[in-house]
Amino acid sequence: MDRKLSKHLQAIAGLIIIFGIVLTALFAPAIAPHDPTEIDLARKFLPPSEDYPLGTDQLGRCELSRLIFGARHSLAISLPILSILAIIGLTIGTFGASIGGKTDRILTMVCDIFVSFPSLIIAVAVIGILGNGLENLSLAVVMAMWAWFTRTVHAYTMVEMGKDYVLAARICGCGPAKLIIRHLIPNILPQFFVYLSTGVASSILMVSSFAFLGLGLPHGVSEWGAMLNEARSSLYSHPSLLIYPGSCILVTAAGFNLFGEALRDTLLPEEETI
Amino acid sequence: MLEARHLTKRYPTRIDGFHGEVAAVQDVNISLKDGRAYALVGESGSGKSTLAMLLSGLIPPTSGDVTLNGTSIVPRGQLRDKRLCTQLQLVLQDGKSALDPKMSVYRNIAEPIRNLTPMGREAEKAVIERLAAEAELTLEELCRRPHELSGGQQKRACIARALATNPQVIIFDEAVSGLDVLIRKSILDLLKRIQAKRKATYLVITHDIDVALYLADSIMIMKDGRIIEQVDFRGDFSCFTHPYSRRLLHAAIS
Repeated sequence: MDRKLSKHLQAIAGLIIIFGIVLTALFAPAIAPHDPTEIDLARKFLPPSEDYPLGTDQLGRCELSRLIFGARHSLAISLPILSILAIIGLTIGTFGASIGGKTDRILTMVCDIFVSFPSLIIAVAVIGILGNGLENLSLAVVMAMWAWFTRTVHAYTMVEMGKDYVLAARICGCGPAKLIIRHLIPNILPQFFVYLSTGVASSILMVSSFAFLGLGLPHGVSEWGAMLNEARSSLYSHPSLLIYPGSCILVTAAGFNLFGEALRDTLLPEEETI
Repeated sequence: MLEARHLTKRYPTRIDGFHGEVAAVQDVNISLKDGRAYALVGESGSGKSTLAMLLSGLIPPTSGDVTLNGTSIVPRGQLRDKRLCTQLQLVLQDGKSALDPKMSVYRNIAEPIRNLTPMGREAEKAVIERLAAEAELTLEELCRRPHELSGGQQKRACIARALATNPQVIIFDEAVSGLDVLIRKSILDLLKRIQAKRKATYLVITHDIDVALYLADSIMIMKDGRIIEQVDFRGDFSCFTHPYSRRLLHAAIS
């Protein structure tokens, strides 16, 4: 009972954080006190004041406004990426696992090849060939992560394939497509949602780390990872400029992870952990 | 008529790096005539379940052939022939895991109707309500999820689903194993009533010779992948002649 309650609190905490970030992202122009791109070198590195609650950065831009718009950039980049990953993972993963045989072995091999490359290498290669830009960054993240999603869905599906209800469905005349859509996807969906919700955190981290390395985003975009990168030069004089975006990434990732784990315990009650 | 000719199934094994083969079913010949009830008795590991899968056309045999009304039902590839599904149903051993946990009991029973018949939703509802009454499931139980039912009711749902397309052959793999005595009796009685009402070929696969004696006109005894004896049982135990069959009987009666 206590465990249930604590899970409940965890889910609520996660949800509050997620809602907070989503609302901030949606209403960024209304909340932000200043234009996040407004450069004023005369006002650089200002300490927190009434006008600039978190001070200004190395180019005199309002730090708070940049953080608020950062929520917008982080979510607007990672959520579409995640939807694409989910669709790719569910389609290829369930298809391979349910069809089996040679086709599945080839798919698994391709996934293994992609997984064996560090995601950063794939991203550098994609952006190096196609150039900077939001689409290329998204493409890079999808290329780096699709195999992980597909493998996870594949593993979940393999577990389901061994269960009797799949055999029963075949006895009842279910073809491969019906089996996937009616039986396999609904049965792996709870686990997949959990994976997806923790995946939000990792894709935000990945986009931020690419931005931190100067990959993908045009210069000056107030993405949190990019802000970390720009603030590096003033690491010793103004460490707070690194702490603010860093904390934003941390809190966002934590929010999605908290919610994801609580979701797992609610949606998958049969897998009791001891 | 469901017939198996020289049916053999071997599985590859690998123990300590040595490749070998284990024969689950060896040279089995049976013919199940329409409208009769058969039982296949054997201890666990005797190849009963493999034989059930072979006879249902779910796995290909290593050699031999299975025919239903003269047409081979040996599977080729992933796709299962729709006509075969309509004509032949297999009720799996574990009622709980044989029902899709994400669907209601009603939806589970509707599965073969939606896949195999062009029936509309209204007609389907009438059929399912009739099936539920036949299998003694309440309408309220139909709306629940499978895991909310007791083991006996799950089994009834599986039986109702198997009856949905009015198949010509129904194979029950361990129809009553794992159920407590009273529920076991009520499921056996249900099977008996279905047999009396619906003219179909029944094959009950069981490790329990009691069940076979209660339900079947003809009993096959299986040991180590072979059918060692087949007798038409009419209340006289002396028709069992093989020593193994006599031991099984002896153990059941004492």
